[in-house]
Amino acid sequence: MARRLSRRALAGYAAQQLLDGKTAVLQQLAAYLIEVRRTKEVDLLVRDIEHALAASGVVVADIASAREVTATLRTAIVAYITKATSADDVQVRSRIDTSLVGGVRIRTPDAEYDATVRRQLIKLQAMKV
Amino acid sequence: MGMTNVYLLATAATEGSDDLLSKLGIDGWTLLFQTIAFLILVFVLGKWVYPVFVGIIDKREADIAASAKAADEAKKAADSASEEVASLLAEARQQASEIVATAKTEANAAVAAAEDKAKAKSAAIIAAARDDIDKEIADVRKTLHNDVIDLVTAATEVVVGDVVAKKDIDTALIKKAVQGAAK
Repeated sequence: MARRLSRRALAGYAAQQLLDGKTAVLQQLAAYLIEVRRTKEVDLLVRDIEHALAASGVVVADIASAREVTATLRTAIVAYITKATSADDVQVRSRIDTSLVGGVRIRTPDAEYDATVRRQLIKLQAMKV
Repeated sequence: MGMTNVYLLATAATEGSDDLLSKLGIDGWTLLFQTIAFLILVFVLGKWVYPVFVGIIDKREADIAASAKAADEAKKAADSASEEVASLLAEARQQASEIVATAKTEANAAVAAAEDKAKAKSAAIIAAARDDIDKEIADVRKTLHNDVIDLVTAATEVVVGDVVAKKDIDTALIKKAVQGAAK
């Protein structure tokens, strides 16, 4: 019976493979998780891979906004993330979330910057006693 | 009349007593016996009868004196009793006055204590009512505060949502946020 690999080891291996351009590792990883019945760890594993990539200078950022971000703005956001994380490369995943009302929310493996109207409204709601 | 008889008796004595007494219709012996009987009667009365009456009278007098004395003593006793009654009445009046005064004092003290107690109780009730009112006011204020926040949040969401619905404004907002974060 194969030794159970730690999630951290799997993430490190997958990150290295991705950095080497071997995207097939993702399918292998998915198959492995299904085989060893660890599919519940997918989200955590993805997060660990992102952390491993970030440690290697590749930052995966989630950008959420109420409307589609223009290319210019996207460039500005990437520049900001690059500067803030000292990353060599920034990969962006954009998502439209109308509940944010306005503004933008940027999430990296290590940080989150929330400049949405929703955040301000939540802060306003937090003033309740 | 008396002088006449004396004269006649004197004459008879000088002329012969028997004759004179006879002329007067008086028997000498009878007179003698009557005299003796009289003396005996006087003696008997003086010896046995009069002392009894005198004793009775003395006893009666003593009884009367005793009665008078008793009456006098009774009067004195009555006077004394009257004085004692008056003294007792005065003492009773004084005691009654003292009792009434004490009762008034105690009643006043009880009334004062009751007033103080009632004041303290009313003060406590008022304080408790004020606390309740303050608490209710605080609750109402809190509710109002939260309601206002909900209202402001909802209104802001609608207004701001409408404003930032214009893409330029949202873009400007994001740009400003990114620039602000970069600084």
